[in-house]
Amino acid sequence: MSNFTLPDFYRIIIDGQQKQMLKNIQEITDRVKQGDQEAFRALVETYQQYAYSLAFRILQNEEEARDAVQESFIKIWTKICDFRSSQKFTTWMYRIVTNSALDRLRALKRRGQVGLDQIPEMLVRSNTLRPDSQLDNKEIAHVIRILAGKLSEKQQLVFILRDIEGQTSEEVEQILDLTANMVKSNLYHARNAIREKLLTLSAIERRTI
Amino acid sequence: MKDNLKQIVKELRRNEPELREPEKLTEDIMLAIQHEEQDRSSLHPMKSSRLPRLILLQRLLTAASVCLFLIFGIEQYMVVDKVNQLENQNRSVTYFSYAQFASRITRSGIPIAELQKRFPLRKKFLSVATGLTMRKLNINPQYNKK
Repeated sequence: MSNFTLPDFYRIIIDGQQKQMLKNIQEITDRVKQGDQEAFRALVETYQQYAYSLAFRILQNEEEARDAVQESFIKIWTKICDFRSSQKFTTWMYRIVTNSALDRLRALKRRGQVGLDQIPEMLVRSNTLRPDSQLDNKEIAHVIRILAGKLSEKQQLVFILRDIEGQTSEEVEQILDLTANMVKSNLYHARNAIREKLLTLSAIERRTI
Repeated sequence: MKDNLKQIVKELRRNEPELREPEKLTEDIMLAIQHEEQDRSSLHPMKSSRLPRLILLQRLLTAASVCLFLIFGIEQYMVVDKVNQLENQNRSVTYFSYAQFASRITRSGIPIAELQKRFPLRKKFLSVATGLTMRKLNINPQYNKK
């Protein structure tokens, strides 16, 4: 009998699936480069949820996030020739989505339309601190806005990409075009600021109790 | 507090924003792509038909700019030439006035040698002016000495 354990077995299956997926993505992007719209549809169907998640977490607004995703996929279609197969598609896509979302966020800030519909911080906190709670889009938006709303643009993006989206540091570097040290320092400051925010919130909560 | 942050981050990561009506978004994107393609294909023949005209325009503009440079060059040459002429004229006028001055001196009967003694610094000027005057008035240089 071989010494295969169950986790090894799962790892082999997952590795195999990932390799198959990567192969599929490469095939799809190659076809898209040749102008195949059906392949592009498959690409959109596979990745629009990921793109939407990121755009929503940056913009904290459903409509704006949808528009940012649409804009990003149009850019992907027109710039697919720039995509090299040595790159990871999701990293390349995230870079485009981040830029589109950021442009929209800046436009919203210029128009003063950010943070108009804020609900009380305590209401959000009592909902979110419960483990395994199900949050809807509005609650997610408010939690992110309360925690990361006061951060600088870079700190906010690094926090969202690294901690919430779960990207690796190298991927964050590529997406935001930052150095490793810049990613580290932005993440450090972002986490510290959020911890301070949480401390303030818990102090307020204790006082009210 | 570290655990609290971790807990919130974990919750946020687990609660992924829900994309409502994903099919509609896909369709919107595909429609936008088709529009993009139509725009691109409608622009393409126009571009190709415009190309020879654009090349012609480019060459005409190049020729025009060369002509302009030539015109500016000629104009500049003419201006410099005129300035030179004026300078020469001015110089001759000055010499003439020197000559007039010198002729007045000669008419007063003071010998040139005497003047040269009195104004040693103006020696060169006096000699030039006197020579010119005499040549112009057709006077014999020996006249004063006599």
